[in-house]
Amino acid sequence: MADTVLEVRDLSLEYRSRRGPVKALRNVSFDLYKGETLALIGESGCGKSTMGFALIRLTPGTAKITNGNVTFVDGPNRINLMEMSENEIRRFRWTDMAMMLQAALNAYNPLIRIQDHFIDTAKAHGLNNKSEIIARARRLLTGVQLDADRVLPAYPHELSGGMRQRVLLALGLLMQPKIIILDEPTTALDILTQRSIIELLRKLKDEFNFTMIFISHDLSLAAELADRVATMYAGQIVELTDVFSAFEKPRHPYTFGLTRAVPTLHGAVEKLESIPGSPPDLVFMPSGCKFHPRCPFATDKCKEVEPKLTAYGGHQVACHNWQQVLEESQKAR
Amino acid sequence: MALLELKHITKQFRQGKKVVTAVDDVNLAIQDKEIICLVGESGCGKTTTGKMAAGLLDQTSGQILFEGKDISKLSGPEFMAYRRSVQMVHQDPFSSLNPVRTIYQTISAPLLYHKFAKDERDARRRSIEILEMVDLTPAEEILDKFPHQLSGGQRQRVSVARALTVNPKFIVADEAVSMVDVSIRASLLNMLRRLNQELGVSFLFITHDLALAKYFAWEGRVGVMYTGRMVELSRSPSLIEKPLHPYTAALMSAIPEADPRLTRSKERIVLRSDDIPSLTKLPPGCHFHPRCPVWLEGKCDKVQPILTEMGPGHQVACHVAFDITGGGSKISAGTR
Ligand SMILES: Nc1ncnc2c1ncn2[C@@H]1O[C@H](COP(=O)(O)OP(=O)(O)O)[C@@H](O)[C@H]1O
Ligand SMILES: Nc1ncnc2c1ncn2[C@@H]1O[C@H](COP(=O)(O)OP(=O)(O)O)[C@@H](O)[C@H]1O
Ligand code: SF4
Ligand SMILES: [Mg+2]
Ligand SMILES: [Mg+2]
Repeated sequence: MADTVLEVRDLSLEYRSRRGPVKALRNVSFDLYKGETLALIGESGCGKSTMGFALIRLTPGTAKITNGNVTFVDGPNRINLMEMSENEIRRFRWTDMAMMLQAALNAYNPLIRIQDHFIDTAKAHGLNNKSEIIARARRLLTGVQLDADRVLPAYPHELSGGMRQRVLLALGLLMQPKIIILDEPTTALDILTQRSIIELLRKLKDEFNFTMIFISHDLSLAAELADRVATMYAGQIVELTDVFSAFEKPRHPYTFGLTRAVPTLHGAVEKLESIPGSPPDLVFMPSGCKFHPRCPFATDKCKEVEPKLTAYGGHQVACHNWQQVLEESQKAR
Repeated sequence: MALLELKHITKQFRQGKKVVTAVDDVNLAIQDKEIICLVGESGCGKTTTGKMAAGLLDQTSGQILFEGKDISKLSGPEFMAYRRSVQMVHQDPFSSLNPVRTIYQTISAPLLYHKFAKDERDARRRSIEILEMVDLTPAEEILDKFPHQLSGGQRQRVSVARALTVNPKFIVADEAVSMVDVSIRASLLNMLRRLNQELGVSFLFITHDLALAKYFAWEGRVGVMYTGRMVELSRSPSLIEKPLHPYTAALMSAIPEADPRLTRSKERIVLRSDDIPSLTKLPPGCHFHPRCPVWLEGKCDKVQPILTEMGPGHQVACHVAFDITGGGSKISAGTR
């Protein structure tokens, strides 16, 4: 059994809204293994980004973590993030766990040169020696295949989207975190740029040995990079398994549906199937299994009882009818 | 005779003090009922080409023929007929639908204006028919809604429905499914294909996603653009199975696939450089040569290759592809 670096138990989060609480995370539990790459997939509005932020308690004022624990395991030390003070958690971010946001662009202050982004970030975490910071920044920028001389004095808007994404990676690695969380790391990048970021992530992971969670609505990125895949739906993980099982032997109708909705370039030409309807309103959710109104496998039980994420061997799934789903998914292959 | 033909179409824009050529000498004939996908990375000129084809933007030089007639020489009513026959659906249905109009108002306006409906009652009946054609049901209920009350996928269907009001022969769909979730993308694509098969509408389908292009245009053709030029244009199966242009081959090898075994076993083509050249400073000869892994020194950096037929229905603009008899064995990679 692999070592666990992060234990998430019953994590629940609500956003305040005029219509009532938005239940964006509902009792999420999972273990993150040391050194693995975990992909969080699902349609927009399923709670993927919220999960990323909640794990490092970087939630907006309208959000409240209503339940649960996130425990960081570092050798013999177990640190409960929910019990940390604001100061402690601020230090913890970047040094132990860093999150790189959707749309790299927004993460930068446009009035500050790239080198000052590095200096400010390092200073905020107790590293004050400017020449050491710049030396580190140079090493990292070279590592992400950028010309440090050109990039350090530049302003964010002077860089292309792909370059900004690379700078963001370098910045995220500055304090050598053990876990990094990437939200849509290649969304909006062109194919060849996306490919070079993918290869870069592989290389950096080999070099720095961090654990990675990445969030993407793009299944092909999960197929490419992930060791394990967690499918999110209506604020919960509904399936969690290794990447091959997720694509080849899905047991949740939602994962199965997603894999049938995207074409491949080099595979056979198949008819694509879509999933009817859209994800539920997280204020007024359906009864029972939250997927039942869209689910072709739904039975009466599904309308009444919400299935729990349950492990069958290493494969976790939250569906009353997973056996039928597995059977269908094998027929479809 | 082609339905619409672009002949040596070029479009230049002024960017500050410089003039850039966004579309450079593109030739494309779209047949009746045909589907053509245009692919390529952002800034390569896809949207500009689509807008010129739809008559929404004037070309700097070249000719556009609609049913054999030069559109710049059409009479007033003929030009109106052309503009109706060619419709464009944009990427973002949010910004292209009027937020204060109900769906009925949006759909009925062109029906009444172009006299496809005699009166309000007729317009309502026809609106319902059209909404059903794009699978927006229950149509009666949808008609009285505002855009913000619909999901992204439903709004995109309304954009398509609006285009259908004037019985177009040809639709330019510019990244029309890029902003909707994957789960509903398939049904949108299937709906568009049905319009092609049942109503005979031709499509110029613009996308940056090659796998989508393959799915949508399997019976049609795919064109690949790079820095404003069409570098490869071919029937889809032949392009997917054996790309002849090194840029197409590189794109195909780079694209991650939604199948872990497939994507992890693909052969990768490594380019000599990742830099996309700026339109204000294009390299001489073949614009791709500074990045091209198989370039010929003395030729590719000197002479611009012209799109040339190399196999049945397969055109390419590449000196190396021209040189290889049997076509492109040195170029293809990662295909099966
Ligand atoms: N700051 C916020 N205030 C209120 N609701 C929010 C906020 N951020 C996200 N939400 C809601 O929470 C749900 C999950 O959002 P998000 O985590 O962004 O999903 P994803 O990343 O999967 O698209 C959505 O219904 C979204 O509207
Ligand atoms: N109205 C305009 N004025 C100046 N430059 C433009 C204009 N429209 C497009 N361009 C330029 O033309 C090139 C091609 O753009 P576009 O056709 O939108 O490409 P694509 O759709 O392939 O991303 C880009 O370099 C873009 O900046
Ligand atoms: S529990 Fe029932 S409704 Fe939910 S996914 Fe499984 S079969 Fe479908
Ligand atoms: Mg998100
Ligand atoms: Mg465009």
